[in-house]
Amino acid sequence: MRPFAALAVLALALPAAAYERAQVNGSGPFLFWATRKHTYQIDSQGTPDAPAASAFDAVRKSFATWAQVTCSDLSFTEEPPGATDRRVGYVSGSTNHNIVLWRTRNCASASVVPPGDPCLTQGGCSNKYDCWDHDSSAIATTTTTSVTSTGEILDADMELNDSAFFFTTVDAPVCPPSAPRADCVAYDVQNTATHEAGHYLGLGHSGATDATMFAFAPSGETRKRQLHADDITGICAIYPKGGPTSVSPGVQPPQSNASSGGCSTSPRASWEMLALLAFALRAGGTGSADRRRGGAGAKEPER
Amino acid sequence: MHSTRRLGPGSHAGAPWYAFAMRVMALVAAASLPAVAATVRGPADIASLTAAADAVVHARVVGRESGWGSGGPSSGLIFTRVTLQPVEWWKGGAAGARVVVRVPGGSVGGLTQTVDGVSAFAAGEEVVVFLRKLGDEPGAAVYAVERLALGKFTVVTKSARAVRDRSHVSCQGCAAGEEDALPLSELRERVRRSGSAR
Repeated sequence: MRPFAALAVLALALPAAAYERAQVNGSGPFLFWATRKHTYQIDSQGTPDAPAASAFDAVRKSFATWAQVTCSDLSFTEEPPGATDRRVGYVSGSTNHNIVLWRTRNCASASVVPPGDPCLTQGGCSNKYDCWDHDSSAIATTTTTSVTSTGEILDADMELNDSAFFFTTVDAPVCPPSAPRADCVAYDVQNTATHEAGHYLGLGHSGATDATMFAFAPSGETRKRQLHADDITGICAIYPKGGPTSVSPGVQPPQSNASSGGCSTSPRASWEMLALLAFALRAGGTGSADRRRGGAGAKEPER
Repeated sequence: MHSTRRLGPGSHAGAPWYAFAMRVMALVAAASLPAVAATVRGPADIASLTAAADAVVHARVVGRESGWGSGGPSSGLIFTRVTLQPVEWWKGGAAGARVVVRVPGGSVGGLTQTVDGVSAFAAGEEVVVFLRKLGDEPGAAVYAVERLALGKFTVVTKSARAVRDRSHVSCQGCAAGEEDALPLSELRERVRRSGSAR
C-alpha cells in the first residue's frame, strides 16, 4: 500500500501541470533556447488572404503573448519585415533568421516543381522553389534545428500553408467551412502562430484542454490566442524569470554560473532550489551575456 | 521526429518515495509520449485517409538514414529516408520496387532537425502507412506519409492491433478518438472497403 499512498501524496503535492517538453529524437535531451532574447522576421510577402498590417500584427501578438508571461523573462524583437531569403532550416556558417512566412504554392504541382527534379524525392523543394513541401493538409509547421547532444535550439522557422488554407485575422464570426472570407474567422493567424510559437520555445502538447498547447482545435478557433495557466506553468518551468534555463540532466545550462552549482533543472529539481539558484545568480551578477552559446554556427540573431 | 515528456516541478526531491513515484509516473508518461506538433486539417478517419492516399501498405521498417536534402548542406534541410519491407499492399503500390518513405527531419553531423508533427519510424517497427507518391528513383518508389503522423499506425504484434499516436499532431476538425486503435484485421478491412468504394 505504501507506494500507492506515496503516489496519492505526490498527486496532491505537485501542481496539476499537463504541459510537455520536446526532446531530441524522442528520448534525447530536452529542447531549449540558450537565450531569452529572441528575434524573428516576418517575410514581407505576407499572405494574400489578409492585409499585411493585420497579418503581421497577428504574428507579433503571438510572440508578445509569450513575452508577457511575468514568471518568465522572454523577449522577442522583430527584425523589420523584409524580403527574406524565404529559406527555412539551418545552414552552418551562415546567418540563419527565425522566419515566419506563408507559402502560397504547393511543391506537388508540376507547374511549380518540374517533374523529375531530385528535390521531389530527396527533399529540399521548399527552399529551392519557394513552395509548401509538407502534406497539403498541414496548416502550419515549425522546423527546428538543434544541437543533437544538448538540445539547444539554434533556429526555428514557421511556415503557414497558404497554398491550401485561408488565413484570417478578424475576431468573429466563424466562417462557414466552405466559404472562408477575410471578414470571418477561417484559419486564424494569431491562434495558429501562438500555438506554433509554443513549439518554437520547446513546448510540446499539453493535456489541458483549455491550453494553447492542447493538440485539438475546432475550425474557426481563436481561443488559443490567450495562454492558459498550464502554458504559463510550462514556459516558466523551462525559462524561469531570473533563473537558469531548465535542461536535461548532464547538459550544461546556458548560464555558466548555474552549472557550477550542479543545479541544472532536471525533472527532480525543486522550485525552492530554483529560487535559491536564481537568488545566487542575481547576487553573483550573472546576466544574459554570460549565457553559454553552444553549438558551432549558433544562430546569429540571438547573439 | 521528436517527442516530449513531462517536466513537472516538484518539491520533494530526494525523498525515496518521491523517487519511486517519479519512476512510476515516468513509466506512465512513457506510454504516451506526445511530440512537438504541426497543425493539420482533419478528418483523419480511415475512409478519408484511404481516399487521399496513393497507396496503403502493411510493412516493416528495415532501414533508416538521415541526410541533407537535394543540394547538400546548403539546402538547409535534413530528411530521413525510411526503407520499408512490404508485408502486404492494401491499396496501390509497386511490386518489386524498394519502398522508401521520405520524412522531414533527422540528425546529421551533430545537428538534429525537427519538423513538428511528422511520423517517427523505429528500426524493425511493423507499421501500416498511408502513402503519397513523391516520385521514383532507380529501383525505388519514394513516398511521403499522408497527413503527417495521422497517416501512420504501429502494429502491436502481441495483440495484433494497429495503434496511431495522434499526439504528434494538432488537428482541426478531427474527432478525438477517431479510429486510433483497431485490430489489424479490422484496419485492413476498412482500408480495403474504402479503397474499393472509390
